[in-house]
Amino acid sequence: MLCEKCGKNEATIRYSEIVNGKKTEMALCADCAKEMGISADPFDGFGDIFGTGSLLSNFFGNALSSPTRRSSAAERRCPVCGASMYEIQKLGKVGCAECYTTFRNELLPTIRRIHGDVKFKGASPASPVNDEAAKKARELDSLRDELSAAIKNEDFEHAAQLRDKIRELEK
Amino acid sequence: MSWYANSEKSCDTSVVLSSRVRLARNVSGIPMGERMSDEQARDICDRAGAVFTGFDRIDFDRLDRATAQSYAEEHLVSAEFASSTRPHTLYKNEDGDVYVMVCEEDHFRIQSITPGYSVRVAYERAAGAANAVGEAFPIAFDPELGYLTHCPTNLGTAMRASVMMFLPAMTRRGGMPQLSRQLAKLGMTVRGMYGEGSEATGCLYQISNQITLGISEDETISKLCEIVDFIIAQEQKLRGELASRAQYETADACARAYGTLTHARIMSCREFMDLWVDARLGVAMKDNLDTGIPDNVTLSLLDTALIESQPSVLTLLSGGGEMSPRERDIRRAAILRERLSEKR
Repeated sequence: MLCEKCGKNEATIRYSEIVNGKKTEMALCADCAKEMGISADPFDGFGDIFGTGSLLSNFFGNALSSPTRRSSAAERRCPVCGASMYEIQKLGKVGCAECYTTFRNELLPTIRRIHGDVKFKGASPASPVNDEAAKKARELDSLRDELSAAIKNEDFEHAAQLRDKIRELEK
Repeated sequence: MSWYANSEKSCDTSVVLSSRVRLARNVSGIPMGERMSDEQARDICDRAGAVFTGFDRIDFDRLDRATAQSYAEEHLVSAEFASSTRPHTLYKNEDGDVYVMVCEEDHFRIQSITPGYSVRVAYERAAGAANAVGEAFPIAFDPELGYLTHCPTNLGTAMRASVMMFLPAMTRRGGMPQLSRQLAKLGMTVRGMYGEGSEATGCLYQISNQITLGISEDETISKLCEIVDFIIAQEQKLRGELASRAQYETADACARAYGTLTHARIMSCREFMDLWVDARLGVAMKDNLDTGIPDNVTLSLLDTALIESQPSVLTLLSGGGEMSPRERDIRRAAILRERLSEKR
């Protein structure tokens, strides 16, 4: 089936929309879907919840709302990528990592609205391994070795116990 | 070996098909997304080769459309990555469980996909690859905001952990909208693998974390697993009810679906998806239902058929030449007959 919008490409996405209880369906190609801000890729959990950035633009909406902020922030540009706060707001995404320093005060309210908390927790480049997770990973490795040995020795009862333990840890 | 092949040999995939963890990393001092020049993108793609020695390198901007699209249909790369025309490269390891998208929206998106319910294993693999990137590149990181990402929604751990779940009983009982609402309150999200929301076909859903800042990797995974455990229990309970209250009706639907899948001569993708759900449910419940589906038809065989029935993968399987939708529907039916028939 061809895309019902451009009529050129193969439709790979079925899009349905319910407006005031009236349902309309459309078969779309990936390009047109992207253009319309529709993502059919469930594994792209990173950016696509905010699609084309439109929803995120709403989040950013307040960042430049006060006149004083507007005059100083709107003209400032990131020294690394050259992005302005206006451009970041429009796209819903920064231009480079340095933007988070350049426009920190403007971006923080947005980040709080998204995550609720702005105190980082987790593994870092300085200590890249998450201790808890690494401990579990090491435990898994030794259990797997033990399991191989148990199977080799035909100790199936012990092997079954180990398998259950591994399953529990693997979650 | 992809996540869907031979999976049931190592784990139970009757409710959870696969687990995946994705970590985003960016290089300090280099623009992201649209602001990055083609030269900068190509440079990162090339330099990543030194990090991922022993991995296959696939330059997506040099792939034909069907091949690129087939990776998205296998859920190995995002649709955006498959369709972008700028320099961008996929590195995949030999075991087929680590995939690194270079120059997607972030410079590195490192993902590990493992069969069944194995989120921690996926994290372990993805973190290993992310650490290797961190040793080779200066990574953009802020003590307060964590890993710095193109989109602020990913700040913090920059980790998305998810499981792909098969929920036919819950879907048919109308439980998905309620589940979706409850998950949102817990900072988690559910989305259909094919189609959107309650309109999802295939009864396949991805459950993943939404929040990445202020919560560690370990806490995120624990929270996700708590929720997934609950959903598995609900789905199993509802399947149990189907087996006890509507034993013949359920077995009949599963058996008919299998019969059509193995006898049809022309089959659209949409029809296939509906039949696939019943056939998979029949195999998943074979201890409780007499469906007559032969033993060689396993969950992993059906999951492979699901991927092979998607338009671009199907086109490639047929030699890669141009195919009309009708030609594909005929070819799909032929492949299904061949793959899913009883083997003695």
